[in-house]
Amino acid sequence: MLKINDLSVSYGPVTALIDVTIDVPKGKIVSIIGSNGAGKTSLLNTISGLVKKQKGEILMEGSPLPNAPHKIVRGGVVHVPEGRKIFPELTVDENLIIASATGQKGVKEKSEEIYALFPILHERCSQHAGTLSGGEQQMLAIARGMMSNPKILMLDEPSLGLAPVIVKQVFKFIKQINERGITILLIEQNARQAMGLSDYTYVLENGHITMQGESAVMLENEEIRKAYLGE
Amino acid sequence: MYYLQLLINGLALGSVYSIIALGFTLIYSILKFSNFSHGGIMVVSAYIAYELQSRFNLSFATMMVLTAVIGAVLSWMVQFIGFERLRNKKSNIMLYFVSSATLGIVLQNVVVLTYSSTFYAYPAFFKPPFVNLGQFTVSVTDLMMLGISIVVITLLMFVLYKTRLGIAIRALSMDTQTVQLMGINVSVVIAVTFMMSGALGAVAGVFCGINYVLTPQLNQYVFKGMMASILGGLGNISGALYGGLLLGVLEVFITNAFGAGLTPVFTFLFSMIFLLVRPQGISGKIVLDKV
Repeated sequence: MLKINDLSVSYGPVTALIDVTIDVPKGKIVSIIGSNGAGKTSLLNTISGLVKKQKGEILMEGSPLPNAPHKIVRGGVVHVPEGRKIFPELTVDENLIIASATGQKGVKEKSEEIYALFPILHERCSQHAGTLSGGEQQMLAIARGMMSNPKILMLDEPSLGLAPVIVKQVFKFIKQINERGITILLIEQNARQAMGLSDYTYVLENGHITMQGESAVMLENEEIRKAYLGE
Repeated sequence: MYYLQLLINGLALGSVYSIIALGFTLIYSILKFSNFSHGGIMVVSAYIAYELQSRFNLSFATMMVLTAVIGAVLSWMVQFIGFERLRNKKSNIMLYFVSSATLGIVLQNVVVLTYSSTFYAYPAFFKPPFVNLGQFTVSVTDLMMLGISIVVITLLMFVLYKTRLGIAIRALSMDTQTVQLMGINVSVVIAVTFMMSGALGAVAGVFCGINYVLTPQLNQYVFKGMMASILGGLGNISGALYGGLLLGVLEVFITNAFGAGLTPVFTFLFSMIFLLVRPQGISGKIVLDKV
């Protein structure tokens, strides 16, 4: 569904990504793991058009993505940014309305559908999003992404700053979303959880893809166990 | 009773300040710079309203609506000439400020060149100029200013709080980058915000012209708007509204007590003390963002 070929990105003299090639097949969950500063967020920001690429191509269902971020979202490539980035002074409802793919009409049905998936958000629907707990904010960020009718949902560090029990819950939601036929590209530092959930895993180090494979196989890999699972 | 009368006058004046402050604050909240071209838009719109009125003898309402539309178009042009390129190049915020001040001066001087700096006055819109409401004597102009301000502000609040466009504007004031990820065309939202701000500026410009006289110096009222929005909490929409009303009432009472000459001194003194006690303004708040 989403194919990235030989992608290179740099910020002035600093190189963030070098010849990255990634394939995200339709209906799958693909995870990208790597430490801080490996280029994970740069990769997502480039796909969603926030950062300009120097080289390479990004294809969605065979055709190149448009230039402007808002057009990319309308094409079904939806990015849930790192640190959730919900709008703290908007209500939960308003956070969903703003992301609605269909504009003002159809918002009601769509948000009902999403509230059914995240009942806790429904209870808080008229509360300012900034007053939610960390876990609830992450769920809101994912719910907001769902409002944009994604074909592929790209999640940047959904486990960031959350208690382990909440992380489990969030990952369960990601699984449920995937079961609805939405392709997932998951960027994570929490390698064990990410590989446990995904079908295929890439390892990103210093801007390069250094390893890749079926997640189940990667979980058994000696090097990965040492470097990312602390064994 | 006398003070109640003053209060009504103050609220009428304050409602005009509120409208200036709202137009100013809209831009400040999304782009984080003080838009001094707002004063220029006020002046040019006020003169265009004068032309419309003296040539076509329109009804007051038609003239106001037309002028608001013209202000909106003017403001769109200002953003296109002055800010769009800066935004595309991700320029320093200081350059926005320089650009806005420059455009403000240009607009003002277009008026000076066309009309010279002599005073003009609108024809008397309302006859009789005063009405008696119970024990109060209120000027019709004041009543109209108050009434139209209430309508304009209600309309603005409806757009900002009940429509998706308004939600987008408020979201933009919090986080530009993330708004793009919501599938929203930020350039369009910014252009529309400028148009709303321009319409507010035009309405305020006409009011200032009616209330005083028509002069190119009207652009200085943008500073009243700025002061009102600082009092209310910079970048805060409801704050701009309260700040304007407070400033208007304050001015009327101070003028009454100390005379018009000393009014600026005392309003600034009051503002300084107020901001010492409450640096975030009336509605300003320190936002705590969770990590």
